[in-house]
Amino acid sequence: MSDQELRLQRFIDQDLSPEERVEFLEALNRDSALRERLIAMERVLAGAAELPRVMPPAEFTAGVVARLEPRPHGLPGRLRAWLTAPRLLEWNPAGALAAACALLALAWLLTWGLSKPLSGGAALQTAGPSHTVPTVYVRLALMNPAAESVTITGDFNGWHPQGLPLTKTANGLWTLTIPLKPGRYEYMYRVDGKWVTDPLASDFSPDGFGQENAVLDVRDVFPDRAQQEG
Amino acid sequence: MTRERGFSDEAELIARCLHNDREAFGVLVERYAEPIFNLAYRMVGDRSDARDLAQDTFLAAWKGLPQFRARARFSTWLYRIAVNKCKDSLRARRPPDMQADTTGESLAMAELAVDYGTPEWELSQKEMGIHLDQALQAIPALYREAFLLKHVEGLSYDEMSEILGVPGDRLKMRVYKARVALRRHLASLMDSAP
Repeated sequence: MSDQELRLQRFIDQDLSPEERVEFLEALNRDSALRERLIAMERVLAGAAELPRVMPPAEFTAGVVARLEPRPHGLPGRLRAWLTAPRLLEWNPAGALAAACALLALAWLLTWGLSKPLSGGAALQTAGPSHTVPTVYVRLALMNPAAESVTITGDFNGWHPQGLPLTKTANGLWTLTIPLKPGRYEYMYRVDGKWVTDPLASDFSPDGFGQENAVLDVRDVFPDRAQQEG
Repeated sequence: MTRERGFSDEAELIARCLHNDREAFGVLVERYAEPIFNLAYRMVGDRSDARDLAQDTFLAAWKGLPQFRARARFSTWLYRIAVNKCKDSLRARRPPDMQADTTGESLAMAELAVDYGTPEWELSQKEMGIHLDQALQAIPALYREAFLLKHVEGLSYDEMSEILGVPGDRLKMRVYKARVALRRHLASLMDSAP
């Protein structure tokens, strides 16, 4: 999405600062194509407001009520209901990783740790509690000797159009190191103002406009800690 | 009915539901049937499927009511259940036909360019709604969901974030992309008009 399109969208959301709003209105005054895009966008939103409300069938409520299962009485019934009730599980990658490490540690303990004495071998360190979310320093690199400027924008900076600038080295490699919490991040480079997908990304995700966002999976890494017997 | 009275009214209804009061739950169903049904219909594009999804949403809400956290809004919780039901349904289906409707019944965008405020303009806006309905089925479900919650159900980004468990910035991008995709789909109707 171009800077101008992003600004148009933010204008619709009344999300521009006063200065940005003035700049956008001035651009609107100069650019008839931009005016047409804004009008077309306003038509879309007006159409959304005119979308007919679809009423559920007349017997909908009665049908739902008729299918309601009575709540169980007594401890066994209530216990079964509690165990089988659907729940909306809220999770985050750090917590999931912590749980996975704990399970791995338990599996190791049961299969290998109990059969052999612990005598100076490496110990598997489990993840810390979920409230101590580790920070991982990720180094991003793009080889482009001809570029004048390279920035990166993605989930980690709210897709801010300005992006984070990379630094060019003597051999034309652009790099940036950023601290991230473990998780999944989509991002794109902007090379001299043009959106470029990172060719070295391990995964990609369609952005809905014919291009692909690069995907970065940041994982927490715990170094093995060798325990020496005194 | 003020919002505060609505909340205390719902708290009382939920308390009665937890004691097997089906009539109380019927009041809640009646209150939220239309928005939940509309969301399901706009997400899956089929009235019969939407009815089943809406019913499943309320049945899941009845079953999961003991786990409902009273500090959250009931509507937010209900929307979350509905969104998840719709996603599960869409995952189980084949992708919809991405072809825009270019039959003779489609109206060209040029025919919609009439004077603002006239009866013809009002009619053209209603017809825009019909084409928008079709265009919504053609865009990715992730963008459709964000657009519907924002511009059809009228939720704020904060409310959407609470329902979907997605940060507001990412939701904004999904809404932006949905708008642009819809604009392009609708413009293609104009390009393909006779």
